[in-house]
Amino acid sequence: MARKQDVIFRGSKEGLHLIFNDQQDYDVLKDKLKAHLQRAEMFFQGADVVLDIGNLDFSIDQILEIQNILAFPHGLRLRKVIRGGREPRPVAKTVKRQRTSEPEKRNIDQRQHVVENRASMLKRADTYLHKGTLRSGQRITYEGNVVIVGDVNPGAEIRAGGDIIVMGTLRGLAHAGVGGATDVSIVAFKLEPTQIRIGDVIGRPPEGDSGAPREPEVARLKDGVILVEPLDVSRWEGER
Amino acid sequence: MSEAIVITSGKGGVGKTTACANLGVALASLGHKVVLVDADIGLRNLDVVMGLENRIVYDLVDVVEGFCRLRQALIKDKRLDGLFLLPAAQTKDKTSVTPDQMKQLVEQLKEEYDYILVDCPAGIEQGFKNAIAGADRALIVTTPEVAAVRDADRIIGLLESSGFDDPGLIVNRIRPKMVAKGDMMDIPDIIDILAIRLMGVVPDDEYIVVSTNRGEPAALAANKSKAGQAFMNIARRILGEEVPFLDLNEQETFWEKLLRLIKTG
Repeated sequence: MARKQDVIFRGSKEGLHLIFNDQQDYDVLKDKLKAHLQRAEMFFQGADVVLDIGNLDFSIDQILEIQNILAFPHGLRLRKVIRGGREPRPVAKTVKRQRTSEPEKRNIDQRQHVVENRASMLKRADTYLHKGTLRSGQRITYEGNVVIVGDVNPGAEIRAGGDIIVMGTLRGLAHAGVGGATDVSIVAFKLEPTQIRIGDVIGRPPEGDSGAPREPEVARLKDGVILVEPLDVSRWEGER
Repeated sequence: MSEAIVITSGKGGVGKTTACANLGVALASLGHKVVLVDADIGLRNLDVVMGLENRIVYDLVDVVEGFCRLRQALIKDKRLDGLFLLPAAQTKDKTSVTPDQMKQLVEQLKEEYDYILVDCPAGIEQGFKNAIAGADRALIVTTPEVAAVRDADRIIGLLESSGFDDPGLIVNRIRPKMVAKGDMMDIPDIIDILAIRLMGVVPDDEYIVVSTNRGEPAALAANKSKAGQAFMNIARRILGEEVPFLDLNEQETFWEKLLRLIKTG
């Protein structure tokens, strides 16, 4: 990204990292934060926040004010204030994250930190949970796994670095293993997608398909071909 | 010499996409190389009507943004050799593309195709401006309703001020029986208001609903339905042939005839 963003939310093991651009004024940051929260309202609700103030000097009053902005009406809790670049202590806790998080250009230390974070996150297979129907034109992009509690309609898209699970009917497009992973799968209660992709392989249902059976199915990659089978949970677990 | 034709209407739901799909099929089955461009970014439908939705990998916005080459985004029709589709993006909106980019895209397509049919979104905003940007001529679809004709008139005005001098008119979904009873605007009424060249009249046909839902445009089997036949005729008129207009008066069914005889008898 060419321009440095003033307010960035980034997920980590500790919760949401709120990173302020340390070249910006406090008042500007405050307004940007408010606007950002308003846009992402439902998305952040109830999350823990680690505030990264970089090289900025904040007074106690200012920090209290930020705590207030976070808390009302969005219900975010400010847990900690840190100075940029320091490794957050690992805590075993899954949190809601942003849908997409492109690495921002900060200083090199921080970029490394982000990369590390991503790698460890993928290893831990972080999961994004979406409740509700994903409708035409809506798209979820996430580096880890994606779970949809609801249907995915035609014209909707899920792009996940890891696995995709749809607890409902998958009618749209699902792409698991976006980064190139091939040992991932797509599971749906009813699997009748427009198209599924695993890694670099693209599959579509055969012409004149009479619809999916009324049982959960799993799509996986076998010898470079996407295979759809009834979901046998015990076998699935065994393989992993 | 290739030609880019935009299919537009102003009002939504009058049959632009259906017309686009059927004319594409008709022109391709007459031996021309045709590409359909869905300019309705964010509300794409042409892929569904063509039955090609599940083959989409890249779309128009990907091409414009340079994510893929034009050739990669074009989907070859599963039935006709000379027919291709450039699908719209669904997760973006009209502002993802500029008229200049559309112009470039159409120019690029002209190098390879005889006919480029652009399916225009409803409305007169950016989507419309994008769709008409690269076009050489325009076809306006309307239905025999006052509101649709009003919008068509507005569109013709906008097209004229953008330099389109001879737009053609397609009157869609006409019901001869209602016209005969005087319950529906008839063709002369519409021509009287719009004062442009009539390219064709398409009857209201249940077969269109079926074929659209199945993703098999009616013109694929033109002899099966009057609507399919009508689109075939429009395609031939686009090619410059003189084709007489269809006789749309439906044959009386046995029961209708019986009923009439009883009433008059």
